[in-house]
Amino acid sequence: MMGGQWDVAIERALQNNIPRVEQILSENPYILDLAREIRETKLAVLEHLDDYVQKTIRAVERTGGRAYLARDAEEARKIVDDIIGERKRVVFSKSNVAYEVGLREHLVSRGLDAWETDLGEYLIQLTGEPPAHIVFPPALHMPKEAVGDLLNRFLNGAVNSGSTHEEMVAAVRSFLMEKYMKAQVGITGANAVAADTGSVALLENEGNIRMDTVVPEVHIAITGIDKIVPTLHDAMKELIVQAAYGGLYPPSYINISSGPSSTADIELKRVSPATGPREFHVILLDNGRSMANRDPGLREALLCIKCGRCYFSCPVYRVMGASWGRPALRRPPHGRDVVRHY
Amino acid sequence: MVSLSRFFFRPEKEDVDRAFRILRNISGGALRASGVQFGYLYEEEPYSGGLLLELGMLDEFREYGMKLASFFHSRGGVKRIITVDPHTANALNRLRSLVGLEAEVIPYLKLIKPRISGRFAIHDSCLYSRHLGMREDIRAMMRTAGAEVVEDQIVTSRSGAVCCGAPLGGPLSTDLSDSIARHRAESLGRLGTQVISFCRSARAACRGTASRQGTSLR
Repeated sequence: MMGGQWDVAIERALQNNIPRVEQILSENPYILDLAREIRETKLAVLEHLDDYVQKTIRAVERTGGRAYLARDAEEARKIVDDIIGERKRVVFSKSNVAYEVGLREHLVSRGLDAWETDLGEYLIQLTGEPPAHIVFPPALHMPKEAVGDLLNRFLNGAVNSGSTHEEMVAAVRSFLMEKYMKAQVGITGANAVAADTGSVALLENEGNIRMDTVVPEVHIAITGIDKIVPTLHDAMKELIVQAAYGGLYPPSYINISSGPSSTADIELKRVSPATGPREFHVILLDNGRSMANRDPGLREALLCIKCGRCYFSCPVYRVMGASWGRPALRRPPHGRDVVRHY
Repeated sequence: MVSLSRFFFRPEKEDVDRAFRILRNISGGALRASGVQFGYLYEEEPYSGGLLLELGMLDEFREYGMKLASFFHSRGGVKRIITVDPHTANALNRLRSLVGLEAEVIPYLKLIKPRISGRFAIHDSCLYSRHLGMREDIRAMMRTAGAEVVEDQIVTSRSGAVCCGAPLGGPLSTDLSDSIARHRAESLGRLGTQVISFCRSARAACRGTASRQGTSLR
């Protein structure tokens, strides 16, 4: 049992999240309708998952991107290695699938300069601990004072445990800004992938995903095949539902990436790249999801939109925090691990 | 089933006596006072098989359920079963879809008209509230009975309230079960009202902490 620091952290998180979500849902009742619609839509996709994977791959390539189906974590890491080539500087937005395949650790072990840019995930990277929550914030288990101590060690004393929240955020922003501007590759997840347009939809509040997807010359989105929805319209619905249940509504930013950057502003001739990336890659990870989809009980797990709200209704999580269920607690369901841990 | 249940759960004599007292209060007291006519099979009263269901032994639960459905059929075609606890209500409801149990299953709470006074925070039964959709029925019953129901967004709301941890106690981890029960009882105690539990297991799990902190737990 965790106790102490965890009890303080989870109590603050509950007080901040539960009333806010209730208020959002009561003020925007259409969100409950969207949630029901998304469930039915995702069930329809899972009935024909292989077809939707192929449709998504074709759509990504129509927009000038490259798409890949990775059977497992090893294959996903190999695809990323091949895309990155000799490049050395990578920025990550928080991605559960990247975590699932151990991508950041893999790139760091190859000597790359790879940094998480979501503030919570950046803190997790500094501690070397697993995240305490899949969505917000991964460093839920760290009260402000502990964050200050951590940043004091890694940011040359710029802040400390007595600094304000604002001072800590500003110090991290200053550190990461240099990483963004020098990054050659930006790696993100996807909150949803639209099969009709090949678009990757991403939800955020910090602005880091916008930087990760636009500043580097290469954008790689890695996500599970369970994130495919039929249309861009469905993807937008999923983002709205996820933001609401996360307690941050409306979200500060919604990002849609469809292919590499381009312009037709000179004589209407399409030229790529323009200001944003010259390469756009989508990696769709199976890693047991197809097997889970064949089981009627486990298929239910593939409907999850990863809002993370269920953590706060889980009595085991409230008492034990991140020390329970490792790694299944915070890893999307896949194959044998599902059978073993659930 | 008897030997299996002994392995997981050995009730104290005090708990057995209390369970019989509650049963007498429900049957001879609340139900009859509310004008409900019912029969009772005494030693032949069958077990619902709820333990099999809650341990995830679905094949065995289905097999046992077929015998149970046959038993009710053999007793003149039972039309309506009144349940006195959430686990039985849930198990028999599942058997209606799993093996075609024909009898209507109705929790006694839907039939009685009690009188209660005072301010109460409700610890819901997870099965009544989440699986059987009775959350609002129970609150309406409490208010009609004369009680003031105290709600808290974190502790008693639909999205904030949590399980007492009791189901983990036998098969998985007593330490974890006890920790969750302590956490739950402390949260309820902070509301400063009487607490009424609609699950017998939850009351048993939380009563130690409730007693130590001076919370009235009914």
